[in-house]
Amino acid sequence: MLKVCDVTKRYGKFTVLEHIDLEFTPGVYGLLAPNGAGKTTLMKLLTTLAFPTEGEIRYDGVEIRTMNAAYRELLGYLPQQMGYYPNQSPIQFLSYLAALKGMDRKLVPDRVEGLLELVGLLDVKRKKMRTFSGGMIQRVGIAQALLNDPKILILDEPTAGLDPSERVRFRNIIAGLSKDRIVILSTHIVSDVESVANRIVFLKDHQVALEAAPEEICLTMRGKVFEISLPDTELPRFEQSHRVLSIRQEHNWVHLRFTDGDIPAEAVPAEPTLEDAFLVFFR
Amino acid sequence: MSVIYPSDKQIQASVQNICEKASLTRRPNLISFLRDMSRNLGLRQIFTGTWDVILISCMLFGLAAVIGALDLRHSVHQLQKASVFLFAFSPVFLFLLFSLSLWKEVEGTSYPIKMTCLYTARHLIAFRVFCITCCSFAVVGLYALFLSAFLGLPGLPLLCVSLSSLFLYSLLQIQTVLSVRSNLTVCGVLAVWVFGNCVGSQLWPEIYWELLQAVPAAAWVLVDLLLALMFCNRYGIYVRRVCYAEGL
Amino acid sequence: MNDQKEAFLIRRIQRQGDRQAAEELVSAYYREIYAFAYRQTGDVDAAMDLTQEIFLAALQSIQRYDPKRAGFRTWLYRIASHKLTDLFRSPAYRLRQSTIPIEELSLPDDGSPEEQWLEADQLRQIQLRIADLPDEIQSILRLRFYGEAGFRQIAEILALPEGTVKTKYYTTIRMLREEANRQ
Repeated sequence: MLKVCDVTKRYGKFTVLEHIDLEFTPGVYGLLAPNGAGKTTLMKLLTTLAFPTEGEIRYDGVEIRTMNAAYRELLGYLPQQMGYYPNQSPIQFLSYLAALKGMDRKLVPDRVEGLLELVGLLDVKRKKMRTFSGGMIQRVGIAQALLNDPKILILDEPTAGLDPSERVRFRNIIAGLSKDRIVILSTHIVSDVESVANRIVFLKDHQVALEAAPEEICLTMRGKVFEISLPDTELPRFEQSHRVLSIRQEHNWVHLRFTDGDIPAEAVPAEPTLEDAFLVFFR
Repeated sequence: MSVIYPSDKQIQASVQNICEKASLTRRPNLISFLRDMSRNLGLRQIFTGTWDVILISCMLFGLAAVIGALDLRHSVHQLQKASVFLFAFSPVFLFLLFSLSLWKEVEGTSYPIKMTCLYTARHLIAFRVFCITCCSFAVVGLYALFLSAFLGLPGLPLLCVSLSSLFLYSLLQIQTVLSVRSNLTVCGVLAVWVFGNCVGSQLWPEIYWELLQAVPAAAWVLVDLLLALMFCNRYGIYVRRVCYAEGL
Repeated sequence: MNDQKEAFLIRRIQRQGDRQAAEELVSAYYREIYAFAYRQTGDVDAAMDLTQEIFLAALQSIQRYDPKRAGFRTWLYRIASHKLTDLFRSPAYRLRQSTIPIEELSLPDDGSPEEQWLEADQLRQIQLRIADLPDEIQSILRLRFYGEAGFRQIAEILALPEGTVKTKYYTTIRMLREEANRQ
């Protein structure tokens, strides 16, 4: 169990995280927050790239700094910006990191091959990475994080730069990984985590605003979200009196999801989604 | 509630088991660190991504060395000038290699990933520092010998003079990585060192030369040894230190 | 074991990874830590497992132990109390506790079986209640109840002011008592 105990992080006078208390058990955690809420800093603290100003982070009761190398052996990390050597092929790059992760040299080739298959890069395994698209690089990044079969997998904005089909593939990979390991992925795109995460953590104003299962979060919104279709000329007036969650245009009509304000007779109650909750929460 | 203890035998077995599983290791020293690292990682992996840096440093130092040698050829006070030149410029190769590779590692985009591996970027840097220092000694030593062979100058004093400033500098370098985060201090000190030596030898050439010549070779050797010991000691501390990204 | 000997052993483990020294050090504290674990689990096997985990964590992080900052016993109890807090809160533990058959509870050999079972059951109830409290308070209660530690010692282990420890302890006890009376 990974446990964040009353952690505060300051850079100079600027507070980035304040009194964070979280517990991670095996499963997928989606860390949702608007940009600048301290997501990346929390990720850095969990990967020992930075240290709490106050409080501590413990894995199975032992402070992770004290564990030092033993903690790094449990860790797989994909940073927001995946660094790589453009002249290397994925095989070279992964073998290099496998060496740094202290893996048994005999096991490395098979492991690398297996991971490249998992992320669907087997056909370009000997191509130089400078020719790769952003999405392909990101997939190499995911493979690299999995090299040492980590007990704690931390992915910072893993879907950035992926196209829709790659996103789907990514979600499937994650869903298959969560057995016996803690997967923490941060994102500001709700749909990335909606279907795979067992728990959602909302960060707001440098604090944990909410930690719950996705269904529980949707439940709190039940009966508060409605759908309505209006002629598009009426949209500005409607927007003034209601909180509009999403808009879909069709000819001269707009289909709206909204919450708050008085409910017109034509409005139909809608099934709330995590996205709705996110929008309400962070506006 | 009364505590029921296991039998002494069980306790004994449990204690054995604990110590077995804990896989206790020696605190790394210089030699064990270098040995384990090269055995587990291999030299090729350790120097991945630094070949360009090595090439650039070699080229720059080579250029300075050739210019220096050409300049000395027609000089009147050959020995004196050679001493000054070696005293002032011998740390340059070390500085170039070290600063460039450190900078490349820390600013590199793969730095965060490397800092979360079992062998972190800091381990890599530590290993490279040692190789770089050794390499630098070899290069500077060879250059001093080359000057002595080429221009017919006494080799040993030249070697001692150049090595002492190199040792001094490598010590400063390791101290910097140990205590300060940025490499700016080293850059500053090197600039002052080179500049100060050049100006000094220009303004008061006699005093300066005599100072370098007056000290007997044995004293230089002694100073060199002392500095080398201090370097190894500092290096040992650096190797043992638990390493994290913050405060590198 | 006197302090000097202890410091010597720790230094040897830190510097040379000396197995012999480690065995000696663990042996010296084994019974004490075991007792701390046993009082909370009421089960020989569970207590031995826990003791093993605590010592393992201690040995693995012994490179970072600094004798200038805390005594070894204090440091060991800090690790132990973190381990226990985490264990009793983990979902796996709760699941096991709620499904464990009575026959499988290993019980002491003296006293009537009903009495023993009652004691083990009470212990389980208390544990489950304590596990819901905040970490810090849990640690204080555990050290006080099962580690038989004084407030000063607890304050040292948890790096808190002694006054804070006392206040927190008494407030929690009062709260728990009121809760029990209500039931």
